[in-house]
Amino acid sequence: MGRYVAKRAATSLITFVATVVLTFILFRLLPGDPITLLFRSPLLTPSEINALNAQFGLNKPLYVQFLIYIKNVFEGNWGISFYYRAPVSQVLFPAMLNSVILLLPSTILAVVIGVGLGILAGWKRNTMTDVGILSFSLVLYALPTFWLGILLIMLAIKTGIPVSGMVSIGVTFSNPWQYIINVLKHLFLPMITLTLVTLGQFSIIMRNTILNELTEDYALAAYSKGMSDRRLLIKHIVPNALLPTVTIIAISIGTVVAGAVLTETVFSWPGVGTLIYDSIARRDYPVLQGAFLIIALVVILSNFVADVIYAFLDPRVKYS
Amino acid sequence: MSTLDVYDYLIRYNSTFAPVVPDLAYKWYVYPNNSAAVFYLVKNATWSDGYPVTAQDVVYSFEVANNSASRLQPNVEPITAIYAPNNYTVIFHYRRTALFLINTIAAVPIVPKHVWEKYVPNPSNATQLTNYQDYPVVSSGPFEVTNYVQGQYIELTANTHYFYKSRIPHVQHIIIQFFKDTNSMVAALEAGQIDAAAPSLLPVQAQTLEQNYPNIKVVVEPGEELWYIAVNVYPYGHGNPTLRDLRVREALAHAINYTELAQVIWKGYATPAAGLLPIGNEYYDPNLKPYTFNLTLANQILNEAGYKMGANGVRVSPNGTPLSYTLYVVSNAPEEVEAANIIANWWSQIGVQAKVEAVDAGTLASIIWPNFTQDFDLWDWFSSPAVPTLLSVFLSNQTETGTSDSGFQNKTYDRLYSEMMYAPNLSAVKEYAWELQSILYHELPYINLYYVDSIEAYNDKLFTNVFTNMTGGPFSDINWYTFLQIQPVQSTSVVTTTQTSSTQTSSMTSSVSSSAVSVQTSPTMYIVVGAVVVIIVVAAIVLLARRR
Repeated sequence: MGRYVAKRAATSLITFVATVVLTFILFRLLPGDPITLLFRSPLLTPSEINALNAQFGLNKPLYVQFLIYIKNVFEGNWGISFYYRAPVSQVLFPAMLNSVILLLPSTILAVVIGVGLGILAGWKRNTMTDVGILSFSLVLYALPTFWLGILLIMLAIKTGIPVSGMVSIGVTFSNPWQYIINVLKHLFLPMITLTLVTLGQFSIIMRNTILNELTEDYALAAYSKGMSDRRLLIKHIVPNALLPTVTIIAISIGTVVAGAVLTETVFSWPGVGTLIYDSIARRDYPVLQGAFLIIALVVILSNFVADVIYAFLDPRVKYS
Repeated sequence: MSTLDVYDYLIRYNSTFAPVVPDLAYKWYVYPNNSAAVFYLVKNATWSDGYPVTAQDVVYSFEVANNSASRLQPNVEPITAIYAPNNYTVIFHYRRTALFLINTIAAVPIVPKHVWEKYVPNPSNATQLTNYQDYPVVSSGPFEVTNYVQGQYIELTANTHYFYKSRIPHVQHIIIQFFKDTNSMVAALEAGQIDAAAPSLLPVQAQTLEQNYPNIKVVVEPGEELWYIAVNVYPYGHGNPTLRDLRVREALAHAINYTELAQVIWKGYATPAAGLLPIGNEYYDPNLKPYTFNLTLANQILNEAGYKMGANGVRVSPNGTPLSYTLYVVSNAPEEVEAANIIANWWSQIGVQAKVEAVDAGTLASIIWPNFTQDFDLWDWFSSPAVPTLLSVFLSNQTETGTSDSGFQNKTYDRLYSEMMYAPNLSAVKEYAWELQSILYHELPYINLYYVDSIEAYNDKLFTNVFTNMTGGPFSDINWYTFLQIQPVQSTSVVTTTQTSSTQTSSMTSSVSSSAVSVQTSPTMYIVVGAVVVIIVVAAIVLLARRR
């Protein structure tokens, strides 16, 4: 077990280092830079452009920029945002926290409902329930997030449910509970949207693995020795079928720090997804680098955890 | 909202942009030779932290404006000397210009020296000025900024101690909330969660609001925006050289139906353009008319100029260069990508091939500056309606690292522009502005498409006295009247937007959108079509399953 964990850890570390290098290259490959964008502001003289380039370190040769970047990454100093003129961590972390507030409950809801529906569909295979759940999941999976969001907003217009932002602005809350309730109200629509568009994948995968497991020899053996359907499902099929789902859940949990651009846009949720989108438009390299590094780190970490859990659940993987 | 709602200026422009009205200066005198002026300040103005506003603040503000990192530097350029003989008098010496009051004095907000000095001890140091995120907002205007999160909202609170008694606002709090998408902004207005929506609503949204929401008033006013196609005419650029031939540009200009384009793309909420400055600008030239749409004439011009039709339907210049171009368009405006496609189709009928490419602003900027590798770019300008300074884009020195995306070089133009900026009176400025626009109209570094109207909306059952009659609309960045004048309708003054119970406020939430992802067609149509598709798909799956 120890050797297996060490091996996975080493792979994760290599992946992370590769990501660090790629992140740098990726954003330098984007055509245009933050200074060229300023050319359209009136009467910017060449000397001012040079001064700005020097201020942002954009006048140094690329390999020097790279070395500075590597040094800073490992020192935890992620630079100053070109656009906000504030340390990247100060820009990034509040947005990431907002995204987690939105994505964590949505993902958990989607997993619980999705997996539950998948089990139900697999159990009641080839009945109307199965067909109903399957088509429901397929339709949800294929729904454009943007469209669903706008649809929900239109339905909510008459109900008084907040349709935008994260908290009512300009309101003084007399106690923290009021504040939390206000945020929860704002959370309602975007959370429903995200849950609906993501649960389809969980239920489809769960249903299919259940069907696979049902055709295994051990299922047939248990069935022929007289085990009831319900007992077979709960004792044997579901635990085995959960294995591939663990990986998908781990990846989904990893991406909660990446935000959800479309949902955040529709509901004006101040998350990291829209921050990344806007930063690309502004060529705000430090923010982009910081965001991608954290996302990469969290995804790699959660995959590592998934690998370890997987090994506990299914000892066979250690030997393959 | 406008900076003028928070900061005071020495004087303010009025709603027609011609005369100016008093602000911190209750009285002023411009010397007859128009190169010196004296301003007398009110003595009872105070900063929001209690300090008095004095001539020292004014002098300091103009010094900061003259910093190379300040976007106001071009405005204060004519100033040669500024001094304060006492605490309530400021004297300016400047290069003679008729635009001094409107373009220099009315452009510089007065900031608190005692606060800013800690961050910018030396007003000419560019680096000190650019690290601004820590400055506390201390102001002297009709509103104070009492809360603020970048990209999310600004909370304004009325300054009850404002020295200008008749301008004290009638509403206590105004919240400006920022939306990422215009559709959600309009939905929030419909839901009653905000009271006004601005700027730039789409035509379909205006129509929906007008038809279905009797409590919402849609205001359409001349806008500040021009959409154009810049032609790369830069002699040292790397675009297709045939575009430096005026006859080609004339043919292209005649091969666009401006009226139809404004109708199709903006549903009539746009005016076909001729001159550079939009119809709501003080220096708009009514004598210029859009180029006529005449494909026969366009073909004839190209025939006479020797551009022969090639076998593939694309014309070729006498020395063998095909009239085949790339038309770049900014991708964040989907309706303009559509416009580019329509234009490319008209051009194909005169033997000109234009490949439309939608790219983001950053990419487009890197294609244009500094090497000028583009043929065309379809883009927009917003310009202040009070001044003709957008004309500076075509100065020869603006190419490569300036604002010019056409590379236009013209000595006469440069000279006339500088004469305009230092003209003796405003009617002379107007004559120059018209002459400059006429040069551009005939030389065609830009093919101007249309001026887009400002479409804004507010709940007129909750608020009255919204100041609508101004270029840019009631909630634009230049309209400082609305926030000072609006009044809640008595009976409903407590029930407005926010769920406030603790503080008795009438809050006015106006909204600004910068749409990151925008939907072109009517959202209602999307939803109806989408719902039908979903129902058909579900029905089909269920039926198929049942048959088995």
